[in-house]
Amino acid sequence: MQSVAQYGRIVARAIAAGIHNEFQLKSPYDRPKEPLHFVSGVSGFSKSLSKSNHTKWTFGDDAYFISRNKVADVIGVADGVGGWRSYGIDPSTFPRTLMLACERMVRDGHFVPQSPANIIAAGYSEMLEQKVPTLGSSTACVVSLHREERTIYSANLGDSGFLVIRDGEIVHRSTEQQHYFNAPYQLTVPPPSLDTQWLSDSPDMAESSSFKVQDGDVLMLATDGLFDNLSEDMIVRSLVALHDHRDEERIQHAARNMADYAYQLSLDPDYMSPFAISACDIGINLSGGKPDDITCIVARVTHQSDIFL
Amino acid sequence: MARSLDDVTKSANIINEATQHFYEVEKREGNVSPLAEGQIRLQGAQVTNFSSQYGSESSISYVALNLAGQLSIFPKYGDYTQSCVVRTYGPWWKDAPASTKPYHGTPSFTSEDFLEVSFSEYLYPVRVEIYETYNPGSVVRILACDGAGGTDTDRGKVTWATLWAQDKPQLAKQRPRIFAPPIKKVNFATNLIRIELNSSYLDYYSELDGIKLVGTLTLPMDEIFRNLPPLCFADEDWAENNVIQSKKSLQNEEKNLYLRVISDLECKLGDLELTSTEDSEENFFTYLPRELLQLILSYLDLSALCKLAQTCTLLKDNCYDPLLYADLNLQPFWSQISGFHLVNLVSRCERVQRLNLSWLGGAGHIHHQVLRRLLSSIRKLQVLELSCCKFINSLYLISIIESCRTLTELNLSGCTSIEDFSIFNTHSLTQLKRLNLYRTKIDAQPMMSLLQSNPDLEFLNMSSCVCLRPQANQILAHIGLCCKKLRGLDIWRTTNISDDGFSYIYNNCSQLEDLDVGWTAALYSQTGCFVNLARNCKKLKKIFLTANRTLRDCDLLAFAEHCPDLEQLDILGSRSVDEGAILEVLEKCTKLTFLDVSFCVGISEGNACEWRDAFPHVDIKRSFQDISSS
Repeated sequence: MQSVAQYGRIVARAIAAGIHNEFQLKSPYDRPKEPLHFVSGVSGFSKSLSKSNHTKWTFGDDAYFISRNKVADVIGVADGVGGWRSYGIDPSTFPRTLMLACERMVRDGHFVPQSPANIIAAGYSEMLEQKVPTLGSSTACVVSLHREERTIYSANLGDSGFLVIRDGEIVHRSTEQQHYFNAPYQLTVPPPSLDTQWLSDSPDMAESSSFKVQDGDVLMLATDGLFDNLSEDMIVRSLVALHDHRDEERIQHAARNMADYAYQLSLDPDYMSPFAISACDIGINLSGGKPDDITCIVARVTHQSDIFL
Repeated sequence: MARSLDDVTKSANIINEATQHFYEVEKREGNVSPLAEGQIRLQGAQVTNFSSQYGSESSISYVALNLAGQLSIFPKYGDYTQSCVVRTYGPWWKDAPASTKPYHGTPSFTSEDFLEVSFSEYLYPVRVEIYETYNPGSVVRILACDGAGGTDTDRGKVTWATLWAQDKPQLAKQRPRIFAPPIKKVNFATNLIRIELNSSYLDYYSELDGIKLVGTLTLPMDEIFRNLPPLCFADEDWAENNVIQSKKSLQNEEKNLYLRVISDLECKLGDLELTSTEDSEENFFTYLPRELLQLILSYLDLSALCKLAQTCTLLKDNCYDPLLYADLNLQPFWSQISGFHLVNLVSRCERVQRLNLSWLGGAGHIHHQVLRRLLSSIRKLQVLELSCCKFINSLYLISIIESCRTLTELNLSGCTSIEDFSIFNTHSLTQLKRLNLYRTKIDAQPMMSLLQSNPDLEFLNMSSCVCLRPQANQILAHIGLCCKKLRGLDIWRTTNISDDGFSYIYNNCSQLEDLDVGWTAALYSQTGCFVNLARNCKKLKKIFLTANRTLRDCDLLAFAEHCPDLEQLDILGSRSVDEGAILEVLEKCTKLTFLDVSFCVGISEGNACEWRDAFPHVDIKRSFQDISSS
């Protein structure tokens, strides 16, 4: 059913584009509006040296997913709030389960590509359907590329985020949401009690946006471990080269380099990281990087030369 | 379930061996099960219909729709959320106070649940593969739908062919399995497969990861069916050695009873011989008094009666006697019954007291006037079961309610096509003792009308009624105030319930024996609701507190002290319950037969094994996801 509607849409667009082109000066370099897809690479580091990265799709207390279905390519990250460790709860369970639930929903098509906030909300309600009692909290940021519409839709809750880089400039970004310094908006399943002392934000607090993308745009989705250690200029400089490369290996390499760079700087005690700068802004005298779990997904928006699932 | 930690290790080895086997097959041949030439394998595209599911209505965890789509778990084995699970298993719901009396006849129909899956293409079925990832052995029937078949095009006939059936559910080793029994060859292409399940002999919930249809685009040759490679492990020897002893002895008892009755009958009939003269119009049966003939016929099931009625006029008169149809169960024949058959039953239906029309509608259209005619011809219908009748919508509901004013039991579970229940506001039934609205879309106003008009209500099932959630507490208050004779209440997955409403139940319904408040997140133990429940409802026999994360030791101690008749207790997923409290329940509640402590943070497998040893009459369940780390 959906494919019939889609086919109808493609035909309608083709006709509209055709009529439009009749009345316009056709540039010889004009390419037809093909659907776009993500070519992505992911890399990251866990802040604790002992925890080896055996679990799929996690780096320490961060979790992510990369998935696709017939209509869209979707990527997401979730940063587990480490404070739960002092209550005897493993902070990585919540983000991991959340991302797995979101991934399954995307893969099986139980979501609307134009509304990634719904994926976050549905993933969060799935946390309550686990038989194993799951406690904890995390941020969440999901970006969905609707291939036909050539548009990315995003939803962000907390201090993870994404950037879109085009021609050496940041053309779109997410906004960081926090209650106060180092306390981001977070989805929480608290220990059941009548008092509400836990920071718990509803999925409707997520900030949504949409943005039209082009071939060559580079999107980077990361947790605060990266943004707190690398300034935006440094990020743009690392990724500008990807405009001309579209193979997966190169993109994976870029993600690895960026995560590495952030990791090195996070351990540097003298470097004035963005985290240190914002701390100083509010009167806390800090310097150095911020050791944290780092997760970085780099995705290049590319023309789809052959449609495949 | 394991009796000692050694048993657990043995089970873990069996599971790991099986998982490894499938991984190796996949590595070698690219797929867990090999495919011959010319055959196509399709995964389920969509689950179009099902009788029940463990998960919530809008969730993706433990729901029926997980049967379609890609495999998420196989070949791992364990209790994972990505599986497809039905609501019940084992004998527990049948043994509970709220169970219904079974219908007489058709012992070969053992299906309790069903799932229908559609595929993206029409194929001639060669094999149906069902991927079982927890407690295999629940499938008892596989059917294929021939939507294009049947010559009755004006009556919209739909034919279902049984590809495979087995009355006794199989007993299989606890390990991941691809269940692919030898199926009958059919000469039509299908894109809709239905599997029927019976989990009553299983240890815990049976969980399925997926279903795949292997078939050909053109009619296959017979050799294909003979040369199918075996897939799963040979479980026949396991089944031979492990028949459940108690069930076997019950069957023997029944058999002895029948043998005694037959020998009595033989004595009464004496030496009557079967004589046949050329033009005699008398036959053997004319010598018998009508009452005796009726007694004989009362042992026959519906299909036998219908066949016997075709033999001669005398037998037809006797077989059509309305008194034989006091208990009319049409559920086993769902795949053959359409409106046409219901019309033919009208003449025999005068004395029907219990009518089971569950699962009907799949084999042909049933017009609402036909249903009305059938129900109106019944003088005093008491029990009407319409479970999972997708064709029942608001119009049909009106016909039903207007024709059956004397109903004492109504089962509308799974009738998801009814959008408008306002008929209950105006023409409510007034003599209801039992009402089942599982998974229906009833909303608050008609529900409250029903409660107000039926003060004698004893058993109410309003689990998974999504539209009742916003006013759940008000409805509970109504139940408490109107239905004080309540003995069974099932409000599983009614998420907004809190102590505000629940207090009305325990303060008013002191006769309560059967209570299911599983998966209700807002019932907090800190309000004292469970302690009060125990103090006020001392007759409780079944309490399901599944996934109530606030449960504490004091609640269990209260149950131990005040509810001596307790038989079934489920505290899955509790965080702060200790062994001591559970031990207290085990010791004080001597009639306990079922205890589920799965995923309780404070309870280990070691505890469970100890208790199974010390209290052998209690079936202690402890589920797991990864057996090596449980």
